[in-house]
Amino acid sequence: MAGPGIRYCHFARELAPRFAVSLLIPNDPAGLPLPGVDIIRARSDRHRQLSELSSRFDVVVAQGGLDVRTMTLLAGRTVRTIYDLYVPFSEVLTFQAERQRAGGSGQLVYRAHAQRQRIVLATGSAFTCANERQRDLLLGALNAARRIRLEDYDGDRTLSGLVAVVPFGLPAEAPRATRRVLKGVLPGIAETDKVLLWGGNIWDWLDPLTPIRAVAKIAAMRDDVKLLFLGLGHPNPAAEKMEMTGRAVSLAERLGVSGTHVFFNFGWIPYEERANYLLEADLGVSAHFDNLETLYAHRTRLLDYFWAGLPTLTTRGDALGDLVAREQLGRALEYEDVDGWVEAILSLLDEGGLYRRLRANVQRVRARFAWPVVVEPLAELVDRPGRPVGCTAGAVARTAEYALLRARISLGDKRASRRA
Amino acid sequence: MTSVLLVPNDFVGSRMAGPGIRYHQFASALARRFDVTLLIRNDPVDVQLPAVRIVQAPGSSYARVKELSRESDVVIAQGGLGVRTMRYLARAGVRTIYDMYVPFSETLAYEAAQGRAASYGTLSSRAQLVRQELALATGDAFLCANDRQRRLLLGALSVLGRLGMNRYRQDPTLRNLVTVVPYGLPAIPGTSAGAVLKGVVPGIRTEDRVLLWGGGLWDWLDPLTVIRAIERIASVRDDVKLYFLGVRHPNAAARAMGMNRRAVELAERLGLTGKYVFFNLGWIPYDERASYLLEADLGVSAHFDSIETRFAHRTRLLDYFWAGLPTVTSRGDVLAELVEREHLGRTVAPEDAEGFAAAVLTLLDDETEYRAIRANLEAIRPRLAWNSLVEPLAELVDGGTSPPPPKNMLKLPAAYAALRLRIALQDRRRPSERDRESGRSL
Repeated sequence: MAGPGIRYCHFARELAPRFAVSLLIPNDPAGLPLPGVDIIRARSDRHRQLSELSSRFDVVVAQGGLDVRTMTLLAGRTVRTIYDLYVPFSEVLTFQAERQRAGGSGQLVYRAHAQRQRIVLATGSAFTCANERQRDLLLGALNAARRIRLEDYDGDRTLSGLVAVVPFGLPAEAPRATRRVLKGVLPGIAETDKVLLWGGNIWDWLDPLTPIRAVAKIAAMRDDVKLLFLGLGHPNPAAEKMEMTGRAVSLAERLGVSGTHVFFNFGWIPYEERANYLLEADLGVSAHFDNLETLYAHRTRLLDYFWAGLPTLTTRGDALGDLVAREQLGRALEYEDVDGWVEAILSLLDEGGLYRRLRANVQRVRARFAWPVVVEPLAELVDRPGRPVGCTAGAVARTAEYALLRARISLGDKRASRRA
Repeated sequence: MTSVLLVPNDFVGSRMAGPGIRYHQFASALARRFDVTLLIRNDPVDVQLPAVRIVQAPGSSYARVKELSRESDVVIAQGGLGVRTMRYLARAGVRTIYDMYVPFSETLAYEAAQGRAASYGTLSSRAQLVRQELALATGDAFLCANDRQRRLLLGALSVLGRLGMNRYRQDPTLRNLVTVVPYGLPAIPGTSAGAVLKGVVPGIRTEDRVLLWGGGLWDWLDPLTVIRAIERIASVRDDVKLYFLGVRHPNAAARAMGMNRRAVELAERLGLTGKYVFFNLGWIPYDERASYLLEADLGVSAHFDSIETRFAHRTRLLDYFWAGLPTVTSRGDVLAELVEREHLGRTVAPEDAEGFAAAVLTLLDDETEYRAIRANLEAIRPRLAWNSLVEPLAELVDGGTSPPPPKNMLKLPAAYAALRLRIALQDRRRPSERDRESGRSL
C-alpha cells in the first residue's frame, strides 16, 4: 500500500464501529486487518457495479470522485456522496506541465482533469481535503461552481457540512524495528554515521537538489553525514518515473558524493519494513520549490517522520512546513537555501539539547494525528443529514465535454505510440 | 509614463471607511511612478492628492469609466465594476486589475443579515455571484488582502478555466495573476487634536480606562460578547469603559444593520448604557479618528465562528496598530493570528465573554505586558506601511501583458441582466427592499 490505500484502510477501520462499512477495492483483500468491514472486490464494469451498490448505501465516500458517468448518475439518486479531494488541482497542473515539457499530451490531460473536477464539484454532496489551505481552495472552487447558496450559509455558517478537513494520520501503534537495515549494513554507511532520510518518491515538483548540495558541502568538512533517498519507484507500476529523479542522481554523481554520502534506494519498501529505516535515521528531510503545488501540498512523508519521532528539515511554504516551524518539530528553510540547510543539518546533529527538545515536541504532536482523531470530521459528515445534490443540466453537459476531451487524448496517445 | 485609472467603490475624502482609505493610499503610492487618475463617487469632492488627477462621477459610472479607460493603460477597480463596464473593458483590451478583497463569504453574510424573503436573498446573492464570476473571467490580474483570500481566489479561478498550463509555465507561483496587497498603516503617526473621550464624554472620567470598538457594527461582528464582558468587569470595578466609535457607515444609504440595534438594546437591558458602554452614533471624519484612538487604552473587536471570519481582513485592527493600541480580539481570522504571533495583544475564542473580560483585565493591569505589546506594535509598523505594501501592485502594473481572458465568459452579462430583471420585478412589489439594495450595488 501507498498513502492513498493506507488512508482508506484507516477510514474503514475508524468508521466501522459507528456505521455499516463496505470497502470496495481493486486488489485481493487477503491480509487486510479490518474487522467488521465488509470487503467488496471491484469489477471491471465499475460504473454498473456502483450503480447497483448505491441503492444499498446511504453514503458513498470516494477518493478524488468517481467516473464522471457514475458521479452524474449518483447525483440524481438518494445516496449521498462525499468526495475526498486531498489531491488539489495544483498538483495535477504541475505534474502535467512537467509531462508536457517532455512532449506529452499534458495540455489536454490537464484540461480534461479540470473539466472532470467541475463535475466532481457539481455532483458531490460534501467534500473532504487534507488541510485548511486545501479547504480555502475548495471553498473558492465550490463558490465559482455555484455550489454555495445563501440557504447553505443560513443553516451552517462555517460551511463545515460542505467541506471538512481530514488530514493524513499516524498509526496508533508506535513503530517497532525488526532488524538493522542502514548503519553498518548498507555499504557506505557506518555504524557511527548520521543518516538523513528522504522517505518517498522524488516527484518532479520536489527539490532533492538542495539537500544533495548541502550534504556535498558537509562532506567536504566531515565524513559522517549521509543522505538516503528511500523508495524511489511506486508500488503501482503504472505510475510514471520522474525526471527529477534522474537530475538528482546525476547531480550526486557530478558532485562526487553518490555512493559515498548520497544513496539512492530504488524499489519500493514494503509498508511493514519502513519502520526499520525510519527508526535508524537521525533526521527526516523533504524539500520543494516556490510554486503553486507547494501552496496546497500535504506531504505525507512528513507524517512518517513524525510517527518515527524524527526531527524534520523541510522547506517553508506548505502547510506541514508551517506546522514544523510553529510546533518546532525541526526547521523549515527558505527555498533552495543550500547554506541554510548546511547550518540547520549541523546544528540539529551536533546540538544534543536541541535535538532532544525537537524529538520531545514531535512526541507531543503525535497524538493530534492519531487516525481516530483525524477521521472524526468524516464520521460527523457521514452522520449529518443531507439531501441529494440532484443532477444538474450543467453536470450532464460537462460530462459530454469531458468524454470528448478523453477521446482526443486517447487518439493522440495512439498516434504517438504508432510514431514510436 | 504608464497611466493608471483607479476606481474605488466607496467614498474617498474626509469621511472615509476602510475601502476608501485603501484607494486613497493606492493613489498616493502609485502616483510616484505612474500617471494616476482617481475616479470617485462622492459629491462634493473633498480630497486632494499631490500628482493625482481626481475625477468625480456619480454611483454607476459606465460612461465615465469607458471614456477614461481610453486614456489608461491599466484600470484598477475595487470589487470589479458594473457588468457592462467589465465586458466593455475586456472587449476593448484594456488591462484590468480587479481588487477582490471582499470575499464571497462577506457577501453571503451580508445577504443573510438582510432578513429578506428567501427568494429575494437567493436572487440577490446569485446576481452578486454572476458579477463576481464576470470579474474573475475578464480581469487580467487580481488583488486580495491576505493569503487565505488568495487561496480562495485561486480555487475560483481554477473552476473558471483561468489557470491554464501556459500561464503556469510562465509563472509557476501565479503571483502575477493573484497578488496579496493587505491593508497598511499610514506612514505618519497619529496626532491628537485634544481630549475627546476622557473627561469629555459624560460618564467617562479622566482616570478611566477606555476600550475602543473602532468601526461599524456589521451583522457578522459580535459586539454582544464584548458588552457582556464589560458587564462582568463592571461588577468588580467601575473604571473600565467601552466606547463604540462610528456606529453608522459614512455611505449613509448603506447598511442599517440589525446588530446596531441589538448591541444598543443589550447594553440598555444590562443597564450599562451611558455608564460603562457608550455609542457614538455618527461617523467620525477620518482626520479626527486619531484623537479617539490615541486616547483609548485598548482596541477591541469580536466576531462569530463563520466562513466570513475565515476570510476576513478587519481593517479596524490596523487602526489600533497604527495608534499603538494593544488589541483584544476573537480568534479565527488572519489578523487575530498576527496578534498572536507578534504578541500585539490577546486573542479569545469566539463568544467567550468570560475569556474576553479576563484578557482585558490582564492587559489593563499587567503593565509589563502592556509595555511589551506597545513595543511590539512599534516594531511591526514598518512592515505594515502602505508604501511597502503597495509595491507588489506597482510591479503588477509595470509587469506588462498577460494572456487574454477566455472570451466565452462574456455571455455572463446576459445571465446577470436576467437576474437583475427578476430582482427589479420583486422590488416593484416591495419598495422598501429596493431602497436598501440601492446603497450597495455599483
